[in-house]
Amino acid sequence: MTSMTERHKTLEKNVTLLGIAALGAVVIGGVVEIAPLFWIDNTIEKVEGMRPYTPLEQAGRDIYVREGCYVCHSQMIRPFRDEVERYGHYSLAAESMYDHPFQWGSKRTGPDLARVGKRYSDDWHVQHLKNPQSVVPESVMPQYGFLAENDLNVPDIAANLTALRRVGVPYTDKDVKMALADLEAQADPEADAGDLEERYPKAQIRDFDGNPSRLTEMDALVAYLQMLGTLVDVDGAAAQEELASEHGR
Amino acid sequence: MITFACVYYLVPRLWGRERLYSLRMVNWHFWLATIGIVFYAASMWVAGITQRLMWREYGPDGYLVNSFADTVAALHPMFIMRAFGGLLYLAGAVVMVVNVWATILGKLRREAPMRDAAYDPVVDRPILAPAE
Repeated sequence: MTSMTERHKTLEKNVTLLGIAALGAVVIGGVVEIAPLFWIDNTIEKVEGMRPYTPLEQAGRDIYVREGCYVCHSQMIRPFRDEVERYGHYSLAAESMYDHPFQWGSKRTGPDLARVGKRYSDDWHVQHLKNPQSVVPESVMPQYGFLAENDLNVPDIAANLTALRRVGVPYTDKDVKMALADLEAQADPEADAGDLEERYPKAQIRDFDGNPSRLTEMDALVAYLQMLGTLVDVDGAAAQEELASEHGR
Repeated sequence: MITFACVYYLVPRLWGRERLYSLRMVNWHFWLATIGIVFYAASMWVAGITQRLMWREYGPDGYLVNSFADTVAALHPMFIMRAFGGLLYLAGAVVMVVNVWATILGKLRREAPMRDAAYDPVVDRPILAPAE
């Protein structure tokens, strides 16, 4: 016993030896964590319904990131009973697989937004973004009325989609070619949206900000908020049955 | 705080000054930062625990008791305390910037020395050194 501690002192007193031994320990940990990733096919369970964001939703998402919404709002419903009852089915890994960067967040000064889509009307969202305290008196959220004043200005939406495609989002050539037309058509009920809905299933096509004559940043942000969590059918019978059969909550 | 101490130690040496512009300002910075941390850490501890307990509170009817807005209202005073603590901490940092800037310019503040215990060779020795 004494000889063991004595021998260990050699290691403690020799900085080179200690460095080599420490490196060895870190390498073992790294191999154990990283090596399995080469043998499993996928870390994300496949679900039905996921599709890339439409150009308008993507533009809204960029505004969401620009305004720092993620600082106060998470997009990650944890699998606890109270969270599932308050926000809906817990978030699935696949639901953020086209997010670059992801918006899980880590602090909820405001509520989780992972399934906020279709919970409120467009009018509610516009009013709430202009003056949050007018609909939720306790709210501490800042006002974002200027979004309704600003024209949506995306210098090159096709380039945005191309960049996303390079990191693995499956936009087709046609999606990229049609990006600008799709962007404008989704918020304009008068325009011909073409096959937008076939290429982006469940895409909501309408004027979002209550001002059909203009395409504003408000249009894009509300379009993004209204689609959050609506792609995967988690409220369907099969999904709910599976949720009910899970124990421990 | 360790970073601030490093700055206070290094600046006079790097710029070849006799001493810092003001030791009393260092003392002010220390206390502003310490009290600021107490305010913001304590308020955020309480806020975090309150928030989680309110989120998961169920009534006898089996429904959630609080809406999200209820928790926002309950946390409002904590956020104000957090802002107050943060303001103290920031004020301390501003005092440091002024002090360091004046030190770099080579100014020395004429001030009463900090009250200090007189040096006692018997008591003031490293704890690990063997006693005489």
